[in-house]
Amino acid sequence: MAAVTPVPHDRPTLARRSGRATMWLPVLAVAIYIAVPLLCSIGYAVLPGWSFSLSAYSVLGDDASLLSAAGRTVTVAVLTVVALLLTLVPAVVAVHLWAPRLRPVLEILCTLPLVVPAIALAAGIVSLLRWGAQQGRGTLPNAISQFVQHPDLPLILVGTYVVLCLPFTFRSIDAGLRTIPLKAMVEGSASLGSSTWGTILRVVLPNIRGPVLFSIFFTTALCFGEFSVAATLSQDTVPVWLFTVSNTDFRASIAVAVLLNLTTWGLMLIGTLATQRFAPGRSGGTGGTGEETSADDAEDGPSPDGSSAEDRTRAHAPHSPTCEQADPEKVTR
Amino acid sequence: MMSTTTTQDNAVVLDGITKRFGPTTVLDDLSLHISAGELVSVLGPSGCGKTTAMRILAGFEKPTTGRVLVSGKDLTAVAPNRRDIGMVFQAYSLFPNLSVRQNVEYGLRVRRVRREARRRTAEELLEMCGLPQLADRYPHQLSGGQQQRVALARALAVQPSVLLLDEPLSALDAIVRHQIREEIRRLQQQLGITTMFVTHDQEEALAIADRVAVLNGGVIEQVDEPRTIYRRPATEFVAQFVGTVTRLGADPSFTRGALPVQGPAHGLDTLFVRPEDLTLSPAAEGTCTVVSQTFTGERTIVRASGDEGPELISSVSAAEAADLVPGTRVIPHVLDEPALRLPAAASAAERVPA
Amino acid sequence: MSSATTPTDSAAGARSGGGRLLSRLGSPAVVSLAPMTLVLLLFFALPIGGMALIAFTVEGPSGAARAGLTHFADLTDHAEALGNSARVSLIGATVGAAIGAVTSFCISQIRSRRLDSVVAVLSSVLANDGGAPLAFSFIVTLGNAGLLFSLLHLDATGFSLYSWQGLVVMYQYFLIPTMVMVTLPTFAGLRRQWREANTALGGSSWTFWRRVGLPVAAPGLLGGWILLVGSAYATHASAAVLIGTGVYPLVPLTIASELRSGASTGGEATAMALGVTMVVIAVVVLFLFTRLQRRSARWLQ
Repeated sequence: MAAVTPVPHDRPTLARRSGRATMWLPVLAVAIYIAVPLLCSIGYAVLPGWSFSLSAYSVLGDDASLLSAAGRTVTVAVLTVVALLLTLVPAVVAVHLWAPRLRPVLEILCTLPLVVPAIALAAGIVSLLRWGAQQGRGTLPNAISQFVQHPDLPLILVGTYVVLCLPFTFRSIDAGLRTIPLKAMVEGSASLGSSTWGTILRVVLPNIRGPVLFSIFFTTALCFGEFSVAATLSQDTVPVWLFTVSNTDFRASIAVAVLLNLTTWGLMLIGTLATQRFAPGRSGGTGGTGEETSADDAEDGPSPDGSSAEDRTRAHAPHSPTCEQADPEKVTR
Repeated sequence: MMSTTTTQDNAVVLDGITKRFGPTTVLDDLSLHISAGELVSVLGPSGCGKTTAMRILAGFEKPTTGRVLVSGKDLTAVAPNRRDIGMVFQAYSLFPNLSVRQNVEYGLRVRRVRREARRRTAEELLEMCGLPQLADRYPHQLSGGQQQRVALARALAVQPSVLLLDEPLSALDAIVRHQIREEIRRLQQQLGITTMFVTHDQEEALAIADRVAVLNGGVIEQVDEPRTIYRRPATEFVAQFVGTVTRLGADPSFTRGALPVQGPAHGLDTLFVRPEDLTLSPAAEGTCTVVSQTFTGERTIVRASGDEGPELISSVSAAEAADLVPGTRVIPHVLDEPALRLPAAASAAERVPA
Repeated sequence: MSSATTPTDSAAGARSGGGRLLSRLGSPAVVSLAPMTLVLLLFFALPIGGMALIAFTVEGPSGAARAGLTHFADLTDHAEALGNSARVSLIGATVGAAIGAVTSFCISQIRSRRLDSVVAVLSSVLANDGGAPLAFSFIVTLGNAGLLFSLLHLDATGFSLYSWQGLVVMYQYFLIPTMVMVTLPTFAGLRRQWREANTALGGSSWTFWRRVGLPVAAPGLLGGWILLVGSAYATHASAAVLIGTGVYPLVPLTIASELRSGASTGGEATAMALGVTMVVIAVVVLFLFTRLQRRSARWLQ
């Protein structure tokens, strides 16, 4: 390789800078695509005839059916959160502590609802409930079918929503438990004389605060936004109400939809931020996507040179712009 | 096949290199000459600029000022992929989707070498690096040591004019590290390839190099043969960073022998004494007390401390160690000329950073 | 146990075995796992099982039930819905995967920590969007009276939100973020050392992408695309609000309408058969996706 082609000294920097600007284009395009429908909805809801008005939101106070739908939705959401935490947290802690071999099984079971479409699950539930109803009055299946579908307290929605939330909440809590030395903590606590349950309450739970908060917010958001199951089971929740009322008062349905959308986004946002905030050590474990943090975390040994080390040379280089690796090994002296 | 590298003069010159990132100066007017076929290790603590120096030589960073010359040609403005440089990274640099053979052939492939020739070279290099049986494995199936050997083979396959090794052993465990260190040295000498070896491990630097350049805060403190670096450090930093020293104050008239122990102070010379140059003889009227013994195999490290003075570190044989149990009163003797002596005036000024 | 064991021995063994079983039932592990198992059983396994049972049960000529595939054979009546669903999900996923991959590549190149965390949060929020409000916001944006529709005179182009084009455009709202979420770690995982090793060996940027970058990213990208196909195929709520019933049948919409038509007309069995096909597709998607992710993870570790 004797061929030596000189290049102008500052060209790479220029190319890099213009390259960087090009890199922003697709990101901005997607951001605009994401923002426009939301802005249009807000505009449509509060700017009827291009003048600002909140009249569309009067439906919030006026419509009794909306109020009852909202009440039902909130009840379902609260019950779902409680049920989810009471079933999922003990199960994940248990497999981590006592049955690590069951963890992959639980993972698969908890991931399946992610891919099994909600409408298919709803169809299966309808088939069960109808079978129960067909058993005739007075029979137990019939009674159960009636009970779980009661419009005041649609328990069937609670159970189904718990299942629908499992994929994301399981990953979050599982990832949270994986980042802490659970076994050592529990054994350490036990050696100090604490009981198993006491240890779990005092040591384990505080360490997975972030994932638990994420689960709460995620579950609430899902319950506020879920349509397929509720509509198929003819349970009047807020999204179903929206669909019904859109035929008669479209502007009101848009207005409420915007509100609902912002609420769910807000909840998810808080939930995701909660995971990052409370993540022990580093800010990994972005809620829904458990595996994505592993890429750099897995790297051990004296080489913390993840992709992030590159920003230092590339950007404005804060303190230590050299690409030296911080060596945990002590320098002999 | 590898003989071509020795026919031309592949000397490397870093000439007055300064590198700034924004307000921070990482390298300050650094000049270093590596003769053809020589292995120079660049040694320094984290953040001293040693990796930046290497990356400038490789072309991944542009120096703010200064020139890079290889074989007398100015490469400062040459793109990194035209510099004809072989590089081995700290770890994880093998292409994960290619087999060991394909990794080794990569550079030849880029150079459009015919398949037959490529294959031959790869076989030959894998043989030299002791990995012929792994040709069809993939990087994730290899141990860390094997990965680094493949990385070395890959870098050598293109017969580069210069080989750069960026802490290639730091991710390996001790035994493998020693093995591969020996192998790198053997191959380097066999091929006569000009090599820069960046490391933060002083033992490694001394063991592998023809010459060692000690870098601190972007400035070269000393460039010398390993023996000289150890026996005659040029600066206080080198004395402290390479090997173990005891730092003592002594009257300017003191040369060698029994030593009234005192810490460095105004009006005194500061001596930096290697453990093997310092003996501790038991004596009831001794001015120091043995504090601890550390058995390291051939030698035993004895630490003692003066009543109000500094900590002394001496390396003694097992037989001598028997008399130096902790609590023994001892008199220190300096056997030889100290590794470094800073005269009274200078030592007062130099003491501030320490 | 050997044949020499006396009856009393084996009885004692059985008793202690039973005792162990009992104490196991009371162990904290079992107590903790029981509620989860119950919920999964009642609200997941049982409905899916029931669905499969109905789908595979055929009324024989004598009225006796037997296993059969008649309901699946009858799905040819719904070929249009199956075709539409396939078309929308394949096109939607391809468009979303392309845009999402480019976007996440660009994000990984920009290397701004702030952008990374914003994207991490937003993409996981948006990937879970796809409900009724999404359809509403698109109706007011690109619907026949939509703000953007009239602004850009889209009627002249023949675009209609209430067709497969509209569905594809709307689905991008959650497909692109899903793709970004799934592939960002892949692009971020491409090590600087690989790029620099390629450069030191004389390769250009093009060489790197052709020989290393793209091949390494390929499983991640393919996995993302498959996940998008599954996700688009399964989407119901937003499609239901946008399309309603009839105009442009899709599999999820057909399931809902067949369920509504009731058991008497045989609609229920059809719905269940369609549901089973969806579950099968979903399981295949999950299987392929995890396989590809695992491969990608092995390379990027």
